[in-house]
Amino acid sequence: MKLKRLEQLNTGLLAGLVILLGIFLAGLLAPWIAPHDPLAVNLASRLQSPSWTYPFGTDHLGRCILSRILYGIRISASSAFIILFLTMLIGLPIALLTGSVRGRTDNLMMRFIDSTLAIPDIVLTIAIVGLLGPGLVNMIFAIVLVRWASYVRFIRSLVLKIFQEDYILSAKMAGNSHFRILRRYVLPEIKMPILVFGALDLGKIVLNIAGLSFLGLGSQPPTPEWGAMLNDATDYFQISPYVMIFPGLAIVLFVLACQLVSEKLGELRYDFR
Amino acid sequence: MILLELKKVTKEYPLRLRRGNAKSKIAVKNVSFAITKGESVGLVGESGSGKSTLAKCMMRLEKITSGQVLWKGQSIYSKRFKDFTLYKNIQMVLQDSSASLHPKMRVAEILAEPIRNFFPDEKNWHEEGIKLLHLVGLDASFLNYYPDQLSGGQKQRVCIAKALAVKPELIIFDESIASLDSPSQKSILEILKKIQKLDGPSYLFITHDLESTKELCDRVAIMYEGEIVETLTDWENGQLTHPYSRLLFDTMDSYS
Repeated sequence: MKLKRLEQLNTGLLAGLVILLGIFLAGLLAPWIAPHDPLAVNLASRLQSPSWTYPFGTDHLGRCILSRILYGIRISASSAFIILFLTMLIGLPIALLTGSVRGRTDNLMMRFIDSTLAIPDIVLTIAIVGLLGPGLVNMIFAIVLVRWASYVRFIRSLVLKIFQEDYILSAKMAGNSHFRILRRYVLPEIKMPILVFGALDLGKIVLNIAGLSFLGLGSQPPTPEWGAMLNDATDYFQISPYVMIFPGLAIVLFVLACQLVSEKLGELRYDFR
Repeated sequence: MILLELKKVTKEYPLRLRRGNAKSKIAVKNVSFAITKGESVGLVGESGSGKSTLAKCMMRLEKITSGQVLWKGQSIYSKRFKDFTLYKNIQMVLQDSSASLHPKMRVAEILAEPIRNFFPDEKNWHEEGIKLLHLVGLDASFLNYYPDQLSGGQKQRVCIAKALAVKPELIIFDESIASLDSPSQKSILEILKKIQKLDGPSYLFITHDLESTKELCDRVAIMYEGEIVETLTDWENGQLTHPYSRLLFDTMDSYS
């Protein structure tokens, strides 16, 4: 990132980015910074309160919660990014195409998308995971399958608006091919709104993953995953609230950071040339 | 040689206010019209008279309801007539020059695009860009400017340079000069006259202002409610018969 741009970043955005970066670094460095093996069962020290040996306490099998949260970043955050990437990969070309070409293809596509958006997201995702069977990969597949439609809808609306502009007509008259107009004129204009939308959606995806794992449809035990940890905690949180508080806080922190980044990005977009 | 010929062109816009109500608004009614090589033609009419719609039909931006638009005898609405051929031959300078230049592209890039697309052998975009700028009365330093650093007149000149870069045979000016102040109008018209002597493109000026066509146009077609009611070839008062064109002519006279 250029220095000039860095100056324009405000504190809120910087804070959000630092939190996100910190979370990712922690996930990356989990084997070195985690105090214990996240899978090591130690029934003698189950459901302990935070202490120096177990900073966040232990769960019902005596596993270190801090270590599990750190390793959980690898699953939650990386699958959230994979989902975001895949939905963009599907949504962006379709949106660019339907938004710029219009006509019958566009109409058909939009009616199809309307019909998928008519069903609540989470219900459809649960139905698809239910059909495919629980598991991390199936869950990612199901979430992508449900989410791409809203991306198409959002990006298409941006593309439609830009294609009304005179400079697109002017670019056509300059002999540019359709593909070049999309790449040279449309993509740079929609880049920032997409980034804002994507950052906001990253938080939603993490919530989605955690929700599905909480229902037992995502990653399976003993894999450390935030939602799954909450699920494990349901039977014990009255005796030892830490089993639920810390994974919950991890999710909240991640989602808040995403929303902070998204909102601050939205405030300063279009200022760059 | 006839370049562009319109034969009984009609354009209707459907007005479907209620279901089953198949009314339509006729924007252009039975217009026949031709432009020959090296000629400057004016198309004058009040707002809503269908002159911009007609221009859009010539650029294939709107589909015509009936009739034919021929480029050197070939219909531009046929499948074989590619966008590329159309834009190689006809260029249009739009009404709003600020909106038709991409705000994030420098003048150099704006001018390089048509050269690169239409003349792939031409490698020296920079030199060509300077030449084009000189042609429209700007100097080489403008190459590094962004459109929002230019004045309205300068933007319009860049738009004209961009159209000229393609070396088309016909340039349509859709109200593109009317929005400028009269000194810049005058200098642009003079530049256009010079270019026509040099390269010989035909011009079609679409405007609501008869005065501005007097300078340059050999022929002025007057549109009223979607029809060409009269063609003015000689600037003699006595030849006009239609009440609207008389009105136009008289108001022009009273100002000058």
